[in-house]
Amino acid sequence: MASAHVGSPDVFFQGNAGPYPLLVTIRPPDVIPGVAQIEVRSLAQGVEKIELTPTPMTGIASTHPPVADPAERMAGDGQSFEGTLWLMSVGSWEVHIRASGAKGTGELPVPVPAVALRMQPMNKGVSYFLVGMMALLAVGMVAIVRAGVREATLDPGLPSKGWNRKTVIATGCASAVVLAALWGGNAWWTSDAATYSQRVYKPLGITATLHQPAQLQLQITDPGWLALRRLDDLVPDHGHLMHLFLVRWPAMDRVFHLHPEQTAAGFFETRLPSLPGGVYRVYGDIVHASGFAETAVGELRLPDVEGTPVTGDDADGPTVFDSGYRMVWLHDETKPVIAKQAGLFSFQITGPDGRPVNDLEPYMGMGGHAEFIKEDGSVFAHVHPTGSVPMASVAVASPAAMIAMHETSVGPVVSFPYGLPTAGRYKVFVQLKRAGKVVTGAFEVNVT
Amino acid sequence: MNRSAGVAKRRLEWLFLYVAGMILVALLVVVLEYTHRVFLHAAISYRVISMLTPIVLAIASRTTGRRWAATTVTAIYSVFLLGLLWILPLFPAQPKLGPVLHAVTQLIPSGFPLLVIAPAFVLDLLWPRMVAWKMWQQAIVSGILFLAVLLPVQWPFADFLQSPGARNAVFGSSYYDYNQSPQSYAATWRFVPLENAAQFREGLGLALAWAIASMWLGMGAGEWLKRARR
Repeated sequence: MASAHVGSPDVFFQGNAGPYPLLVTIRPPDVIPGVAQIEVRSLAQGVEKIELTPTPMTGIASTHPPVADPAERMAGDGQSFEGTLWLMSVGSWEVHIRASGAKGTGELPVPVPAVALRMQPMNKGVSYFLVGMMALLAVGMVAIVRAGVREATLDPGLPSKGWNRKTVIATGCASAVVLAALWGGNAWWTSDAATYSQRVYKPLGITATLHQPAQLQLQITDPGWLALRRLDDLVPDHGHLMHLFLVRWPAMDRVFHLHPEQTAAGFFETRLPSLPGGVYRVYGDIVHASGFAETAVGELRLPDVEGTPVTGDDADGPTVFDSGYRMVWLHDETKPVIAKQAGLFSFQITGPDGRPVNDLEPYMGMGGHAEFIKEDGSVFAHVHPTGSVPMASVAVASPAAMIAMHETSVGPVVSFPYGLPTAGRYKVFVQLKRAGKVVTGAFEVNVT
Repeated sequence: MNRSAGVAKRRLEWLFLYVAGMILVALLVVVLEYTHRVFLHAAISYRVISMLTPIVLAIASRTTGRRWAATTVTAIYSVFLLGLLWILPLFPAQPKLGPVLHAVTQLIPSGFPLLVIAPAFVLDLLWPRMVAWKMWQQAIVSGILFLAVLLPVQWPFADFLQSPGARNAVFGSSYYDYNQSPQSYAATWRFVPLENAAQFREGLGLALAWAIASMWLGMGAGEWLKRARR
C-alpha cells in the first residue's frame, strides 16, 4: 500500500531543530488534497512555540513557503504539540517544523509522501440526507414551474385554475429537464470518480528470478499509476540504489538485507548467499529523485541455494550470536504496545557479563536498521534511528540535515522511533554492526 | 412591479435591473476559468459568454420595458468588477495554502470586466425597431448582433490586456495568483492555444447557436414575467 513501506503510511522522525531534539509523528491523509495530522514531541525542555509549514520537496514551490501554522501545545507534560496541515497535491512534500524557545530558533524538515491511498465511500448518514435534499429540490423545482404556469399571471386573491393542457405540458417539460439534469449530474460524478481512482496509489511490483547457481535477477514492474512515475530516476540511499529484503515466508525465520546493482532502468541483480529453500517475500526499497520513496513488493520460491557469504553492507539473519552475547529489546514487559502510538524501540547487545557492549559501529551511516513485518504480510516498514523516512528522501529535503544525521559513533543503545500501524503480531528484525560485521536480531511484538 | 405604477414602479424596475446585474456578475464569475484574459483568443470563452449573457439581457429588457435595460445591467456588472479589480489589491495578504509558486503580498483580483456592455448597448439601440417582428426572428437577429459586436470589440481588447500597456493597477494584467507559476500563460502574457482552426470555427458556430437560443429563452421568459402578477 503506502509508499516507502507497505501498510505503514505514518511518518516517524527524530531529529534536531537547531538546539531542540524532537520526535515527530505525521499521519498523512488518505486522499489528496487532504489534512495531515502532526504531532511534535520535544525530547528536552525549553520549546515554547512550534510552527508548521508544508511545501513540495522540489521545484519552484519549495522556495515559497506559505504562512506558517502554529501547533498547539497538548495537555499533559507540556512537551507535545499537535497541528494539522493541508497537503494539496500528489507528490513528495516536506513539513518544516520551526521550534522556538529560550535557546533560539531551529528548523527541521520532515519528508512526507502525499498520495491518494484510497477512495473513501460516502458516510451513510450524509448519503441519505443528500438524497433526501435532492428529492426535495427536484420536486420543488417542478412545483415552482407548475405554480408559475398556473398562477403567476393571476392577480392576487383570485382562485387558481385547475389542471389544464398548458400546466400539464409545463409540468411534464420541467420534470423532464430536472430528470435530465440529475442523470447528467450522475454521469459527471461517476466520470470524476473514475478519473480519481486512477490516481489512487498502486505500489510497484518486483519479479525475481533465480539464475543458477546463486544469481538473483530482479525487475521492478509498474502496474500503472501516474504517468509521471518513472523507473530511471532512482537516487542512491547510502550508496545503494535499492535496499532489498528477502524474508522467508510465513515463518520469517530467515531475513536477508541485500543491495542489488542496477543493470538497466528497473532491472537489478545480486548474488545470493546460501539460503534454505522456501517461499520468500521480496521487498525492494527505492527512492526517486524527487525524494519520493517506494517499496516494491514481490514473492518467489527458491530452492536451497549454495551461495557466497554476505560481505560489506549485506546482512543475513537472524544471527546466531557468539556464546554469551545476545541482542536485547529494552522495554517494559507490563506495558502493552498500542497500535499507531509513537514510541522508541530501543535495542542493545549485551555481553557475557550482562552489560551492554560499547563497540557498536555505524551501519551504512546509521546506528542500525530495523524492519517491522506483520505476520500476515500487510505491513513492512524499514526504520532507522532517525525514523521511518528513507535517508535519500531526507537528503533531497535538506542536504544539511542529512549530514547532521550521519552517525560517526554509535552508543550502546540504539533506538528506533516508530508506531506499529495495526493490531496483530509482528516480527522485528534489528541490524547493528559490531567488529565490522552486521548482526541481526529477531523479536516478536504483539500489538493491541 | 407589474402591479404598481408611477414612482413606485420605476423604483422596482431599477431594483429589478440591479438584481439582473448581480445575476450577470454571478453567472460570469462561475465561468471565470474560461474567460480569463489568456483564453480570450479561444472560441470557448465566447461560447460561455454567449450562453449566459443574452438570456439575462433579454429578460431585463422585456420585463422592465426600459429603453436602456441591457446597457444598465452590463454597466452594473462592469462597475462591480472594476470595483473588485481596483479595491482588492489595496489590501495586503499572504499566501496561506501551499503550493505557493510565486510570492504575493496583496489580494489578487479576477481581472478586467468582459466588454459585454458593447453588444448590450447596440441591442438596446436596435430592439425598439424589432418590436413588431416575431419572437424567433428577433432572437436570431439579436443573437447574431450580440456576437457580431462582442467579437470585434473583445478580441482586440484582449490583445491590449496582454500588452505592456495593461500591466498596471488600472487594467490588472500584472496580477496572477500564487498558485500559478511565473512560467504560466497568465504570468507571461500569452494566449493559451486551446483549439486548432477547425475546433475554433466549430466553437464560434456553437457560440452563435447559444447566443440565439439564449436570446430566445430570455425573450420568452421576459414576456412571461411581464405578465406575472404574484
